[in-house]
Amino acid sequence: MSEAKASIDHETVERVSDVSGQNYKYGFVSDIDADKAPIGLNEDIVRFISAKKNEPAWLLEWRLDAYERWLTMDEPDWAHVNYPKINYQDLCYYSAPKSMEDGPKSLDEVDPELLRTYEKLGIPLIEQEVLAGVRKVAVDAVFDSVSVGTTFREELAKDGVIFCSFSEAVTEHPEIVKKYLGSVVPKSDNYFTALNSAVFSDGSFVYIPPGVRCPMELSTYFRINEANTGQFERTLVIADKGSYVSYLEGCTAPMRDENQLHAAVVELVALEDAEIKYSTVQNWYPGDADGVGGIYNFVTKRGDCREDRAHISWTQVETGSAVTWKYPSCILRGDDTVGEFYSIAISNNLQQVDSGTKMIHLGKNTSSRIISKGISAGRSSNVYRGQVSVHPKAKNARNFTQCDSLLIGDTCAAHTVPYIESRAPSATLEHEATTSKISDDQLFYCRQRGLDPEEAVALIVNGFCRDVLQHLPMEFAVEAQKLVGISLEGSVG
Amino acid sequence: MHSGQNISSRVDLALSPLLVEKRIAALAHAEKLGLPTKRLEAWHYTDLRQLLKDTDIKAHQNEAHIGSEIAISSPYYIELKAEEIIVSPELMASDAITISPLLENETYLASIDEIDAMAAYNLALFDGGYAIEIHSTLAQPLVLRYSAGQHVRQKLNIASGVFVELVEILDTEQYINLVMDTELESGAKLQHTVVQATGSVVSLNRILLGDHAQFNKNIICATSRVARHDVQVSLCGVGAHAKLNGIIVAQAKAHIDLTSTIRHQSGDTSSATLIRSIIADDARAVFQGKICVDRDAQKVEAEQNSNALLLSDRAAMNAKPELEIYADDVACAHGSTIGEIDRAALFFLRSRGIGAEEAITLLLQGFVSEVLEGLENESLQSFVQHFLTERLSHIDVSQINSEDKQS
Amino acid sequence: MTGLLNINNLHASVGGSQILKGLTLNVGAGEVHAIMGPNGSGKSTLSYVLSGREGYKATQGSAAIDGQDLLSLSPEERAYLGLFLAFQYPLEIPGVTNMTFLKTALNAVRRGRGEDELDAAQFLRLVREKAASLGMRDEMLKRPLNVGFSGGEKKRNEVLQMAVLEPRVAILDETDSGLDIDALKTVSEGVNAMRGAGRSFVVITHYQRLLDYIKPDVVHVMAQGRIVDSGGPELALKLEKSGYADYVERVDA
Repeated sequence: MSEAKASIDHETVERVSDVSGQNYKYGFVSDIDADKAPIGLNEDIVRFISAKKNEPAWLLEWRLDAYERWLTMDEPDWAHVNYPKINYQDLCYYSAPKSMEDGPKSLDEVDPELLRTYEKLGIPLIEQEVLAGVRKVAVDAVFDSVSVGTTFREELAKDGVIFCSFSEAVTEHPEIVKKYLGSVVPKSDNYFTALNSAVFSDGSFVYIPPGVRCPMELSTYFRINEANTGQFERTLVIADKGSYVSYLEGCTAPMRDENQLHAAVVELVALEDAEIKYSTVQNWYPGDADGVGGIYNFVTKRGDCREDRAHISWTQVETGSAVTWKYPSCILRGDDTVGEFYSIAISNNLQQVDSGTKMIHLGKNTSSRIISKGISAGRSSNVYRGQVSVHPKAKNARNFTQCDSLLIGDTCAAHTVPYIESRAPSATLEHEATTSKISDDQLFYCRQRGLDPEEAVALIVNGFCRDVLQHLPMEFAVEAQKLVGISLEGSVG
Repeated sequence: MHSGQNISSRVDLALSPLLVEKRIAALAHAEKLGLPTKRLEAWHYTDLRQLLKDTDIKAHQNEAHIGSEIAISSPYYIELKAEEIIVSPELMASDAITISPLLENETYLASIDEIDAMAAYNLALFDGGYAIEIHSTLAQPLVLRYSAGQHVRQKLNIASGVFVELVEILDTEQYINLVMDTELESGAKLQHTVVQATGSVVSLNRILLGDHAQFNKNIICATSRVARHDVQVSLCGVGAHAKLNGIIVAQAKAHIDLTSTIRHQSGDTSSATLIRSIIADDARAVFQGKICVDRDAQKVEAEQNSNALLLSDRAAMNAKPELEIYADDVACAHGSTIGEIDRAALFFLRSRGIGAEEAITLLLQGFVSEVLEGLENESLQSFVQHFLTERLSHIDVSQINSEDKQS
Repeated sequence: MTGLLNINNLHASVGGSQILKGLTLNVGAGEVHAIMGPNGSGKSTLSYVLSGREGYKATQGSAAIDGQDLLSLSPEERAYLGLFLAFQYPLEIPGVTNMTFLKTALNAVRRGRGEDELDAAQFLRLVREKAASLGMRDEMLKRPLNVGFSGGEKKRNEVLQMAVLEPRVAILDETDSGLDIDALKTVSEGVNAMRGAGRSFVVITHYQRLLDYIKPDVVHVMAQGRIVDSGGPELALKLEKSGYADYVERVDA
């Protein structure tokens, strides 16, 4: 099994090596009628969105409060990224495919064009297709702001697991939503969380009851379709005492000439003895070789190990986005809690990545582990920005951080900016970082053995990333390896 | 100290017009910015505005001046005291060294524009300091000693192939803002050691290295007030090498910040940084070390290591080891650790009969010894060793938990 | 004269210096040729020029396998033709297991030749068989390529790769350097087991000792960028006794 996982599927490499910026595999547009809000952002739009979703008054108030805060805030400019100023009034903040208007009673009622879109993307919306596969994966598909359907709901419901769209959770489980929403990422945390809190349209909601080990992997796919719409999804995952869940987020996007905004908020809450494993394989459109088009990805993700012995791990493989600004974090509040962050961030052509993690040690005997692998190619810029902070009361905290950067070619850049802060003498913090390139000797060795330059680079880079890849759920590790290969297209001269 | 008085009245108008103009502009700029706060990235962990106001940061009761009797003895020295500046006769007479007051050096002053607030204050207000040119290798170190003086600016030029040892002793009870611009021509070598015993110091040292020049700087800082040592090295020439070593002993309510930027502008250059910090009581230490490698600087080797020991529940260490790399054929690495005294080592010493307190002291000395070995001059090493031993002796080791860790 | 490997009047330079100055060598199918020579004679340069390493430029002459020109091909294309270079200092590639590397390389070469690739099961059987015959444990296959391997283990790995890739012309560049007697024997057994009608070996070595185990058909002496003498195995013994002094003089004269 380990060989299967570790080997690169040659057929796949060949098939996808046709893909380049011009032929981005998922770069097609669905021809669907959409129900859209008027362009621009003001209080009316916020009300419009809330009304569209039939939200209760408390949630509308929550949104309006966030909107007020947003108006007083300034866009952050300290990250190592440059992008043309976004005109927030020139975007549409809500777009739903029309046939969702009254909600489908069954998949038969869903616009077949929509379903065909998901087929093209390879998403198993139909249960039979999934059953024919090797493992069960419950999928919630979000298409431009609205959750399309969720498979396996009945089966999960038997264990008391709630996996549905955020909008549905507001209606069906308001008490849980109210209890946890904004408790990990406050509305005013930063400019983009305030924006998201005002105009979020949908996302996933997961609740695992006490003692339950979620029997299957939960997964969500996102897609941005309409031009000039941002995507503001909001996800909330709660693992009650002693429970376990593994959640995967994966996304694709079509080709557009204007940059598109993606400002999501993900909140994870792990209670006593609970564990949440959150994996992301992200494949946003990165812009073409000249940096035109592509997604702006500004995301706030945070996990709260709220009670003792909670455990949260973030694993991500990021290869897309024109501009990325994201720092999945863990607050190690309870005693004996564990936070982990494993990341591969690849940038090519003119992409800009400024991302990393924060581990905040508050409880006693907490431990955190960060393994970050950055690969820069083309004329891209890749920054790791991390913070490890130990509160004076966080006795015996442990942190180990390893950040490695690999430069491919001499026109790209790799930066590391770690903030390491300790106020507890019994805490041990270790940080190591290296920057290097693929040596000519290594490349020659591989080529002499028959690999062409791109295969050689893909092999060596996968080896470089191995420590992270082995933390992904198996099915997604394979997809991740493919992505690594595709995203380094054209990087070898 | 930086009041809002009319700016022109604070600049000595008897100086040359160019200088006056420069200084008025610099002072206006500095006043506009004010003392740095933590909202400036470069001062992220050192809010100078807050720290210099904090009257709680008093000298540790046992803090002693270094005292001239244990200073380095050398025939070449410049001493800046409250009422006068003393330049040793041997220095004046030497062919190897030329000095002239920096206030009179129009060429230099015309070329400088300070953006950073503290450097701008310094430009506006400095009243002591020299342009020092060293033409041939000195047999003995050059010693600069500051027992007083608020704003001092120095310029140091070392000619091609010349080797110089420079020792700076910062021993003022008050506050000093120090800026030094250093230039090493091709093949020159400078071994620069700074020892800060007392007082609050904001120091900026900018160093330019020519081809195959070699620069070693050692900063030993054990004040119980505020210190900010900013070292900016540009490896401009091919084959240049820079080494930065630091020992920080922070006690009482000290705040000691060592910030470095090492910029590799040319290929075949290398740098190594090693910082060891011991923080006790309510003190705080900061290390911000940035390594930059420019696009055309290939075949660069740069490494950086920062290790810190926290000896009390109220001590804090903040580290920010940064890498900014634009070239690919490089080998760059940095490591940072923060922790406490090695319990296993402590147990080992105790099992061999050494009492807990003595064992801790031994370990602390061992912790800084690797950096000391970088001081090539033996008598200097010995001086620094004594100085550190004296400072470390102020740490109340009985307060340190020497028991094996419980879970 | 034709053979499996034909090198004719090869001149090559490295970093602006001429190292190979008219080297001619013909190795017939199934033959094992040894090349011995003093340091600086250009032995390694020859192996790098043949395998197409960057920085090693052929300035004159030709090299071909089975009549097909090598010098205009990329390194991997030369591998498709069946060229294998066992490196003097095998590289480490962290995070890439031995197994992964072998499968990737084998299938790349097969693809390059228009052959079908092996699936996971077929490959596993093949590689286990080859590893066992070399006395290598399964566990070694799972380790990252050459990371933390001893000198002998690295060389054995090279031989395993050779066994899996089944080249037509294998160049062993100072395979014996850094090996103790036992490792030497194991490596030699592996090489000898691969001798056969459709395969040729060029064994580059500084010392005669290796040739006690891998008995050559022809021994060449290389000095100052050329082959200056050729003979049977007894030539190697003579070199051991009298060293290379004769040849250095000869070339100068």
